[in-house]
Amino acid sequence: MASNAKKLTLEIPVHISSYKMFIETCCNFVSGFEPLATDFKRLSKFKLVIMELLTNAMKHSRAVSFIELEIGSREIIIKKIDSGNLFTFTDDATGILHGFPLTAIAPSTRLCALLGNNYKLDVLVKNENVIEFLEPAAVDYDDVQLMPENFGLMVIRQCASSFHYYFNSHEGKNAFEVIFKF
Amino acid sequence: MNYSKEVIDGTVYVTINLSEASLNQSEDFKKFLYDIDEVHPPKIILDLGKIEYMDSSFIGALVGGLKNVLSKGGEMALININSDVMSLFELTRLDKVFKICDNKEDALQQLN
Repeated sequence: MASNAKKLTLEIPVHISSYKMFIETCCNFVSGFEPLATDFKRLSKFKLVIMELLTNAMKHSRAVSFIELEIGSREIIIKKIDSGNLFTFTDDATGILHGFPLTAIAPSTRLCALLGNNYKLDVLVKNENVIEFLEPAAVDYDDVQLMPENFGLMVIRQCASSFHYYFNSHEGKNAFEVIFKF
Repeated sequence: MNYSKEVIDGTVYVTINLSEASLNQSEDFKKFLYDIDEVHPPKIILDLGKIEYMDSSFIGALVGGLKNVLSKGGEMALININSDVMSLFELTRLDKVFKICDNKEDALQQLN
């Protein structure tokens, strides 16, 4: 763990037996940032984001990951960085599986990413190395049998002000960036 | 034991003895739910009162369990959900899908 007053970096092992220590360390770090610390609902969402990034690290990265927290004047930035499996998604409209860099999709394209069984999230392609996850429309599940059983990225998006994925092609690194604006 | 169960008034009452319910337990828990066969059709109350932190993979296991119960003509209710965990249900809109009750008595009434 490395930290100064404004930045905290946590190393996330490949397997985590307990999330609690990581969540509490992150909460302690932001405890002096009043807009978050005094907002019970947003603090709850902050904890959910940390937990989902930890789960994402264990489930998908298959490598040591790092969570970085940075406190700005009116925002908190959370990044999960790793050199593990690259993020991929399937374009729901075409069925094509896309990996990074996104050479086959033009910037500013908005599409529905299929991320699992009935698990979809709209994304905006910013450039070949960056996508933004978009706020999902409110959904009512008419048929429980057709419901997804994965929700991780959707939960992160709904908790935060913005949520991006960055691919660093030079270093082969993934970064999920979550921003809470106040 | 991470999970314990007993039959009360024709309903299987399950206590989840976990403070963290996450990816580490989700597959085991889903199997545990699938294997409940004490009551036909299944009527299950899940007590989540000990869970401090829950992630989306565990909630996915709950959805899988619900699908299984409903496919057999059964019912499932959740009780004693803390506020952080409730946030997760609200964000995923699963608070509209699951029967969520304050306590065991309310849940028994809902299922019977």
